[in-house]
Amino acid sequence: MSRRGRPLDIAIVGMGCRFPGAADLFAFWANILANRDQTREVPADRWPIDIFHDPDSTANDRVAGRRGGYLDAPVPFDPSEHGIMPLAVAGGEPEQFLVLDAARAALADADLDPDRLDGLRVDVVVGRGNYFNRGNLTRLQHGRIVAQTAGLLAALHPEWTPNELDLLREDLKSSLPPFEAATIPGQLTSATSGRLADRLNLTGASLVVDAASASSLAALDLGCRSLREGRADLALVGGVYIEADVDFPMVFSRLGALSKTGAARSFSADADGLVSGEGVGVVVLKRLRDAEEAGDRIYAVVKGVGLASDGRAKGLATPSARGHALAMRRALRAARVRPESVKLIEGHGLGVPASDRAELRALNAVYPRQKRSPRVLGAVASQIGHAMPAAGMAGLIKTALSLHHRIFPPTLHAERPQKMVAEGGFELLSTPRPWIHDNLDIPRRAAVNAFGFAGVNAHAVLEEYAESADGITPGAMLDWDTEAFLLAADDRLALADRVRELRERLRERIGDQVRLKDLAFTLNTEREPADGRVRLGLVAGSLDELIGRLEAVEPLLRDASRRSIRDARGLYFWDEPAGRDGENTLAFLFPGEGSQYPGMLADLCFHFPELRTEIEKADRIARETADDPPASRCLFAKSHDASKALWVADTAVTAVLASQWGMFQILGRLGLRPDAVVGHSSGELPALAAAGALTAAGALATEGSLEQALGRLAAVFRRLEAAGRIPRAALIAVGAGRGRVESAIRAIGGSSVVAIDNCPRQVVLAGPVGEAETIAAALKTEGVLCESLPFDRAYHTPAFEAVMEQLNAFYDGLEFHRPNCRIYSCSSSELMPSDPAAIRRLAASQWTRPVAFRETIEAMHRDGFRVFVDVGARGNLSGYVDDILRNKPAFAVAAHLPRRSGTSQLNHLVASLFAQGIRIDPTYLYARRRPSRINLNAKPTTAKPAVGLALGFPEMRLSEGTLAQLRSRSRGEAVGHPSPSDLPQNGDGDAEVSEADAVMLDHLRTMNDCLKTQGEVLAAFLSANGTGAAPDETIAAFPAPGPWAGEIRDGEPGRWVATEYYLDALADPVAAQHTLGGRRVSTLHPDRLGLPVLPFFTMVEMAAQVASLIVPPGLPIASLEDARAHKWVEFEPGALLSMTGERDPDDPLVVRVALRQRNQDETIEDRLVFEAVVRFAQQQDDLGPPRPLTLSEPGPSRFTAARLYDEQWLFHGPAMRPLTEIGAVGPEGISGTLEVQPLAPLVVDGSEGSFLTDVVTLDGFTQLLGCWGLDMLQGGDVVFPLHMSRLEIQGARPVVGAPIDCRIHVSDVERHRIRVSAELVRPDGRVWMRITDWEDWRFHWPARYRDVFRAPDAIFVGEPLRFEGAAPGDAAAVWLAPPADMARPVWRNVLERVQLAPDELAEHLSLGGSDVQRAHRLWERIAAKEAARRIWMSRDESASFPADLIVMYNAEGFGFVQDLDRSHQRTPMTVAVAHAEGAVVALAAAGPDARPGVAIAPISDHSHEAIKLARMLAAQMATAKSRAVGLDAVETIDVDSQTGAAVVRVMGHPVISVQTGRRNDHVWALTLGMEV
Amino acid sequence: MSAPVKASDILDELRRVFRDGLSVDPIEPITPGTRFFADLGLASIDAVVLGEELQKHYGRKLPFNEMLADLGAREERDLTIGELVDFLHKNL
Repeated sequence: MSRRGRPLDIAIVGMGCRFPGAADLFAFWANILANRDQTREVPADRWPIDIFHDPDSTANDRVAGRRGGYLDAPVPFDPSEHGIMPLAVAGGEPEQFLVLDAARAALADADLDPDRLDGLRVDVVVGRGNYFNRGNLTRLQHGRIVAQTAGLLAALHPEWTPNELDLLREDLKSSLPPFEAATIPGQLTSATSGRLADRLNLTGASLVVDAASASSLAALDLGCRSLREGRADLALVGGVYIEADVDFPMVFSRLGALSKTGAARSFSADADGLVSGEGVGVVVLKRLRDAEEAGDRIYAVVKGVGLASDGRAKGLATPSARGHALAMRRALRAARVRPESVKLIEGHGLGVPASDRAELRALNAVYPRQKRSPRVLGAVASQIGHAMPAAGMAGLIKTALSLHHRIFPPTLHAERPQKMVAEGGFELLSTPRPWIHDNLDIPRRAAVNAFGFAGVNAHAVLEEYAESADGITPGAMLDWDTEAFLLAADDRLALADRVRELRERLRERIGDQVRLKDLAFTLNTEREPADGRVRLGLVAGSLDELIGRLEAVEPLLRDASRRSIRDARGLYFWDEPAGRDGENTLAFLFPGEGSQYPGMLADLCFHFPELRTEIEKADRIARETADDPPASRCLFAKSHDASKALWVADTAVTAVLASQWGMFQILGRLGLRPDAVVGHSSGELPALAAAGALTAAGALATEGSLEQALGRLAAVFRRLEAAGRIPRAALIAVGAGRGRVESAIRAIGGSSVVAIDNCPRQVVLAGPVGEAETIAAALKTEGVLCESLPFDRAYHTPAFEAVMEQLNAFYDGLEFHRPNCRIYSCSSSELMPSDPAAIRRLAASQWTRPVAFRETIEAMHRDGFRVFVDVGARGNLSGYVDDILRNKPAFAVAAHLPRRSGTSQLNHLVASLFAQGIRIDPTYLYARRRPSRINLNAKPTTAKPAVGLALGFPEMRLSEGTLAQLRSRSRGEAVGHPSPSDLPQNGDGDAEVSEADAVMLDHLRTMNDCLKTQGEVLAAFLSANGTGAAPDETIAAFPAPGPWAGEIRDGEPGRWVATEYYLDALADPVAAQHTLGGRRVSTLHPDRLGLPVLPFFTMVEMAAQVASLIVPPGLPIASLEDARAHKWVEFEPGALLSMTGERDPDDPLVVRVALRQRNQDETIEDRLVFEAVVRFAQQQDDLGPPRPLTLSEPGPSRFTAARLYDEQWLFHGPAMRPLTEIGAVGPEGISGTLEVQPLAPLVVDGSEGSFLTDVVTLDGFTQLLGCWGLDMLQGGDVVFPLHMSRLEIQGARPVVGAPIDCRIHVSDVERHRIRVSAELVRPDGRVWMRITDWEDWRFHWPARYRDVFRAPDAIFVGEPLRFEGAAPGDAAAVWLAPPADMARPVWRNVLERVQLAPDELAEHLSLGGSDVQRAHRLWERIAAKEAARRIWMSRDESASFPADLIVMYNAEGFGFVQDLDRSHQRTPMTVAVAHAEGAVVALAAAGPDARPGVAIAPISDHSHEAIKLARMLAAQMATAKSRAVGLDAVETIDVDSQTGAAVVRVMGHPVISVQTGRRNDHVWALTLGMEV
Repeated sequence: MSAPVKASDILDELRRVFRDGLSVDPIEPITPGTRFFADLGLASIDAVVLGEELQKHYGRKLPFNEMLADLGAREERDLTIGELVDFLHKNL
């Protein structure tokens, strides 16, 4: 056993760690494989960003970056579990506790009982730095810093007495972690290893090593030496680092080495520095010999470690390639390993350009360039940041796991590597890749780099433990993306009962962090699934999802009319499945060439060595026969190269068929035995092998393997290819049946043939290049889909006869046997004979005969085969079977699909085949995942409150009391108020605007305060969450959310919840019921509506439903308070509401809810749009009798309810029209009657039962209030909700149709706001709902802006301009200057909806630009249309909706307004438009040859002369536009200030007449270009 | 020109075709966000069937060819029912 190497090799037998985003080894590895970025903004307990972060400063106390990899808080640590005094933990160095915790995890991983190591010779070596660690800082703070602070303050405040200074000192100290006799041992560096030796009673050496960032590997070296020298029998080697303070970010900023962008781009061309990282890792080491004797799991073998210093170099802070290379060479020498054999390098890879370059120079010098395939390079620093002394441990653990699982791991930000990476023959991966190894003589090898500040370098060489390569040694990939769950019972009802019972059990256990794979293992390997007759298969990715599926399926199971339940997301049940176990119903399908795609099966290779091994065999054959590229490279290389190779290389086909063979091995281990097999085209070879009918004869290591046969076939084709002898054909996949394609061939009398008949809807056409394409073109014109295939060998056509001699020779070289199950032939469309010679003949002959897959499957179905498993990676054969056997009793499933993970599809396969009644043994799915059985009948454990280990800076603070006392002593101290200067301010403007803005500012300010308060409450809540009281034990799970509560995304039952609700206008019935801009927009598209916007009370109901998720179920709402809308929420594609509900820390029945608007593209920040506090009660308060509404001057309303709706004074749809009667109205208020409406029309398919308020009735209140506004307000009569102080509810909702008396009391009317209260009274006279302090915003618009939304066809928002010299039927001019409100996004969007045609709107939106530009473009179109509409109106007097008109511009800038409604038979109008500062002038003229010209210019100087000059200039501009000439070609001769008439000369002649005019601060000019 | 077809009607029609034509009747309702392959578990050949059924129902040729070709170009990606509704809305 020479390659087991020297007896002194060291085995890694256990590992434990905690790194950013990962609380244990398994999460760490999962993050690495998913290539997740685990960095984030620096948490508040380390250093304050606002004080220290400044990317532009060069000051030595400023930090350029703000991100890093920080451990997730809280880090749970229970001192009592470790036998440590809480005081020691509070005042001690947290790193020792992290190491202790990780060491226990590593020992448990090694299956060593940490409490039974007594007496063993165990060394402990921990790499760490003696930096500004928390313990050091605690001492520093207690001593010098307190004294310094007190000294400075005393100098500033001579009035403070000594007593007060003592108080200050004591107060500061008491805010710090303790520093006293009992805490001192824990504050010293050596405690990091000493604590471990003490707690575990270890008597070997225990020490701390500091070699800066090389510390962990230096510790590894010491641990290995101890074992090799026999001084210890076991070594615990670790590394740890916590960035307690800002000092290292300051250091790296000073050196220009900290990334400003906050991403460590290891070895990348655009790297800009490192980011900080943290973590702890511990490995358990043994001598390899001892580990083998003990039967330990061996993750990897440490072959050698090399350490080197730079010697005298350029400087302590400058990395030295020479020093790096020295360490590498020493490690390789110590390991006695040739550098060629190392295929994976875990780099230090800081992302600092200079240090990455030095590292690459060293690597390129030591490791020779690979010939066959690049060597993989990576760095975990890209994912977690640079963990300083712990960095080497992160790299070591990652590399050991890479070797154990035979995976090349990915690196983040690897898209643009430095040039030297490729030059040295290295490759950075962005997704993990199976480590396919083609040489049995040399094990897989990897190396780890770690380089420390001041020139200390370390390199470790590791090797796989070859014996674990193909076995079922459990690894660190415990959790899959999904699990299958198999349930069975004797009959349907019993199954339904079983489903309910399981769901209830799981609900109880939801807080127990049950691992899904353990649950699956427990349930699926019990007796029941095997015995039960009626079967249900499920697939779920989480406990929640599983519970959801169980909940959904139970009622369906109880519904006997439902014959099957099949949901591709993971539910499989058949009342009468097509498959029956043991009755010859199961067939395996093997696809041929064409089923491949790059990267296929890669993720399954990670979990199933039996699959990887088959690809390895193919690689080995390729290597032995010097074929290039190796098979695995075709499959797994970077996708671009791979996809090319996959279609051109013969080894690629070998790889495809070999991986099917690997998949067949997996299926076999799941207990699946096919009763028949069939191969499609070249897939016949693995099919024959699967039936035991084929083996290859040979003498090599891979003797007799399928891969051997495939390798030979590839060689045959390669020889033929080289000789140019392969018959060629164009191959085209056609989406039609054979008959249709054959008649298309006949139609042109062609020689093409249907080479492959896949199914009724797909065949492959083969023929001469030109001809086949002609046929395809003809088919395409009939709407048939045709797709050329990326290969052109004339397989399955008579033309292939030309090479049959060679192919026959190949088949003669194979050994055929009697098959052990039925084989069907796609060549004969029937069962193959079992005589080996006949099989050989038939198999060879298929190359010249069509593939009759459809007929073959039909024959198999006739013979009783019902369940078909596609063993390929793409699932195309199972798709064909579905099509062939559509509506017949049959089931087809693929073993793998491109769009699902390999593990997930395998689970779907297991679940569905189980439900089909096929015998299947899922045990194998868990074999490598450390399955453990769960006792489902156990009581749920009550979670212990997690005690968080404090890691950050021990900051000093003064208590409120001391602060108050000292402040009161200091006279004249000004109390600072935050300045509102950060709020948007308007400069000057007219009085109305500034008043409005002042009110709006005030409103914004309140909102800001409110947001701030909310942030604080949330922070307080979350911190309470970590350490506070135990959760309310009565609430174990979230109840099913109501229809408007959204989907639950996160949360903690009884505490808080986060949900998401999609604002999907297509799917949400509310959208069509509540549309700003009304419901009459277009004649051409009568179903076009205004802009769908969420009603205020819908958000109220949403808040109520979200809140109800975290209070005990069934409680009614007592009140809803402080409901505030910050923004209109539009339904728009991709938009969603993210809603959070948090329980009040002091009152379990009070929930604060916030709704934030988000866009799925995530480029737009979340925006708080609505918030409210929801109060539940065991019992609602009686609201008492209603308050009488007394009006001083009661009068009738101008409106009736019907008029309000019919005339579009209200824009609500039929489901939201509760108003039936308007009562008396007066300045003090209004009354009216609302009829309770059904709520069901507002939800997709919900019942009314889940509503907690009544959105429609409440909206009716706002409608009645709107009516009051229209009746009573002079101007500013458009009102929209802002805020509601309180909504109280008493009793159940009255029945639909009940009349509700609504009384509104107006309490306050301001220019921009009205405040009211209201009561909604039941038919029996009791108050049902009361609204207190409701606030509406008033919009002061000219009435036409209100009315244009009611009747966009009849109302003009622009005003006509006087234009002498043209009849109204020939030309019209319009002035448009919308109020500023209309340019705000919501109203602008409404106008866009109402004023623009659909195509026009799309074009308008596609132009983008700022809000101002967008508004101007809109104003121009509105004005252009109005000018044209005015001409048409004066001609034919019929109205048009602007949305049925379109404006198109030509190259000269003239617009043409067209009426899209052809029935009007209107001639287009030519129009010119000009704008300035929000004012637009448009001039339309009849006929396409008209040449209107307009201009508008602002004036600041109102003197007679200035205005005249402006008019002259405007006249000149308008004429230049009309004539399409430059301004210098035009000259204004004169303008008459009385009439505005101007004359202008163009190029000396002719003379043109122009009309000018003035409006406030603008002058305008209009011309039709007519000569005087 | 015939009356425009409403998006919500198209969605209902799609649900019917999935249930009756393709035997797909998921427990969670089909919504515009539902994905053709990942959520409904359909194969590409089913897209052809869907096309046939819809052309039969609406009694006219639809440019499924282009859409399916486009779909073929995005191998690993998927098609949402919303996209399908849009496509039909545009072409009906």
